[in-house]
Amino acid sequence: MASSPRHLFRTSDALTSDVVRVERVLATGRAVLAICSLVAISIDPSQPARYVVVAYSLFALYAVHSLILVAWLRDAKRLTVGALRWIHGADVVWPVLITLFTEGSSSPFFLFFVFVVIAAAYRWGFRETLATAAVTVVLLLAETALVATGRVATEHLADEIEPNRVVMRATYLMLMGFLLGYLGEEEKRLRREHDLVARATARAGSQVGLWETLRSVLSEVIRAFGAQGAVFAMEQMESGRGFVWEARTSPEETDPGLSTFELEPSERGRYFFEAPAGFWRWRSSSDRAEMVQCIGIDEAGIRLREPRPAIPAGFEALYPHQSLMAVSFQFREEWRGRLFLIEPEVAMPKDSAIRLLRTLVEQVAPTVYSVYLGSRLRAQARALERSRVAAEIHDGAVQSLIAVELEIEALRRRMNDSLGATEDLARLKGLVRQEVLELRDLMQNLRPVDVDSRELPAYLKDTVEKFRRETGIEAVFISEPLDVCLSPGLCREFAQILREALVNVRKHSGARNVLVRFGCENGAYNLVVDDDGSGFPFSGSWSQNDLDANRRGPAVIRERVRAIGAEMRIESNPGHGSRLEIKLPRKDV
Amino acid sequence: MSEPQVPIGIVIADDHTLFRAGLRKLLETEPDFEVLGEARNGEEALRLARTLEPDVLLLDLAMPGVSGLEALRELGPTSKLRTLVLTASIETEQIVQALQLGARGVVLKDAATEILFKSIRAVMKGEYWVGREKVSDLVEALQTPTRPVAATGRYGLTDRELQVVAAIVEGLTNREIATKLAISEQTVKHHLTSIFDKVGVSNRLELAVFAVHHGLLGPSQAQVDST
Repeated sequence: MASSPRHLFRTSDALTSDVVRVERVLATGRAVLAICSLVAISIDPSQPARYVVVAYSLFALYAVHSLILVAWLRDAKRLTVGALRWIHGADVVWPVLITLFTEGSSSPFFLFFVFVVIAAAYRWGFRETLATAAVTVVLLLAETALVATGRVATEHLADEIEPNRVVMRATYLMLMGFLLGYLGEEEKRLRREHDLVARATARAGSQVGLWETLRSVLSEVIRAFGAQGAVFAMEQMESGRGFVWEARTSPEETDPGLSTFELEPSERGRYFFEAPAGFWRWRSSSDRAEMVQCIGIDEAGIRLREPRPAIPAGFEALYPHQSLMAVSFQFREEWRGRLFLIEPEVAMPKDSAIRLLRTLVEQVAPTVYSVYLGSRLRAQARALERSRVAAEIHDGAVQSLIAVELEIEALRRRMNDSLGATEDLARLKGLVRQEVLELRDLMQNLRPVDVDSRELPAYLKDTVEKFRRETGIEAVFISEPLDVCLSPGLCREFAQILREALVNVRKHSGARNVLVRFGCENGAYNLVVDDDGSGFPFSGSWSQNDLDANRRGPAVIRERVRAIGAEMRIESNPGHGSRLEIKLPRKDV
Repeated sequence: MSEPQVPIGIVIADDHTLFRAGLRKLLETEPDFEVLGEARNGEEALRLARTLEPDVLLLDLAMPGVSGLEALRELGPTSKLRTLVLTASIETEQIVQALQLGARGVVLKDAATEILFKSIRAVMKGEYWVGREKVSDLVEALQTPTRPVAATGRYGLTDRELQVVAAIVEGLTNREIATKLAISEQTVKHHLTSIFDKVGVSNRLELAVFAVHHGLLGPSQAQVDST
């Protein structure tokens, strides 16, 4: 029989409003029982046959006790553990007193013992109910023994003891304790599971965004399963784009920290390896050797014989663990995903825990997915808006400025230079042209970059060529035939870095020639932008740390490079040119 | 005595009034250009092209109603009219599409005045124009819309010098070149001085760009992809 899982079924000394509500229900039941019993013995004058005054007094006192509890609990907001113990203790003692003076072990008010067992099952779980049943049986037997030996009550009762009935009632109580405890335990577990799902779902919402939703949901899961961390991998089945969110607990933070990254094609196998729908694998060490054990379930939730998930070495290296639980899920034909829990610790059967995690993921995934869709729609709306703004700039301000530039040029050509105005007009035209170029850069930045790894070399080449056509600066792109294996996010970053670098060349360097190389050397993608312009205001080869420390070099590129985990170096020869080099380690080699 | 030169008749098609006015004024500063009319959209451009029979149509691609590309399609590739597409940004795909539909060239709206004038005169001579350069024929323009015309040849470079050029394109330093070719650094410098003189460049980067544009790369660099 399952015991209370350590984390999922955690109780607290500070008893919540749920506990008070339970006690209110029990208090009402107790009061009904007491009053009905009092009415019953009043209606039937043959009961009780002896100790009438004592029995009536006890029933009356029990009724008063019940009503006091009803009144007290009606306004109570909290209950202490001590108070709860006193209430339960009194519930156990009352049946003994009442049956003692109403025909002992043959008393028709044996029902009071049953109420105690029901109350325990309603309050707690299996163990507590069984313990309560055992205590009532002991008290019943003790009461019978005391009566039988004549230590309490009178010999009249002793004559009426029926051993068979006592044994039957004791067995009946234990059986009831077992069954009610089991049902109570299961009902509470279901309720807590539903609570967990409800809490996790409630913390997911479009109003907080995808990041906060995942942080909250993963925090809830980590807390519920007592894990040290969670890894949530999702892959869009059509495009193959994948993302990973990692949540790790730390002693300093109450909530786990969350980080995310886009999966590179070469990294997909690390998360989407061959494995059952759900599994829990753990290592146990004995004196002789370390053993690896695993429990798994299939899609239908049926336990598998000897599941063997093929956990890749890359996963083991990235997330070292002794114990790992994982469940897979698929959302429509669009997304598939897997949730891993590192070092889970729940005191419930492992297969039940896997099923619970799967249920949880299946129920929360649609909400997370809708949040994702919302985020994507917002991102698309933002991109559209940016494109619209770019188009507005192009159709409005840029066209007007070009028109002004044309007018100035026409004027300059027609003007007699005797006043020296043509020089001023040329300067004015230069200013207007500069503004046009600035606006072009702005438009460029506003337009989203959409490129994947197959298209990246061609995209970079087009960017360089466009730069050459539009600026008149001789620019060449060189790339070896290359099998690029980068996530779309990294491809976009590479494209943006090159755009930014070329803008800088045009704006600041005065270069006549630019050479852009893209390739792969020594296990890293290399992007090199060489120009023969004025160089940077320093001489020599500076690493990213040097540039950061001295606040030199293009800040936007530095930030982008840092964000993708690449390395940057600038070689500058003032007056003669510079070289920008970006290196991003390949993860597929 | 030579006959007076007949001015090149031009129609400007652009939806931006200020731009049309500015361009007209600029073109009118050249004696051999004559602006015959202005169109605000593709429909007007088609009408003016048929009625005024200009030599050159300066056509904006992004216009309301009938777009520039649709107008090009309507005019057809066999039209005697020479269409020069004016665009804010020269995308490769756009160039190919415009040339396939019969345009004789693509030029930036904010191109330098001289480039604009040159492009008009070039298309009048039957040449094609892409960006800042003329392209000798349509096949070339369509096949390599992103590459300028390059005269290929060795420029009197020796095999060893060509190897040095290839190494420069690879981005190697003099020391690395010396190691690679098993020669001294001093020899590499001599080679470079000689190469600079022969091809008329002044620095390594210019040499690399020149080498790519002019097909100076040897067989070992056959797989290098360049613009």
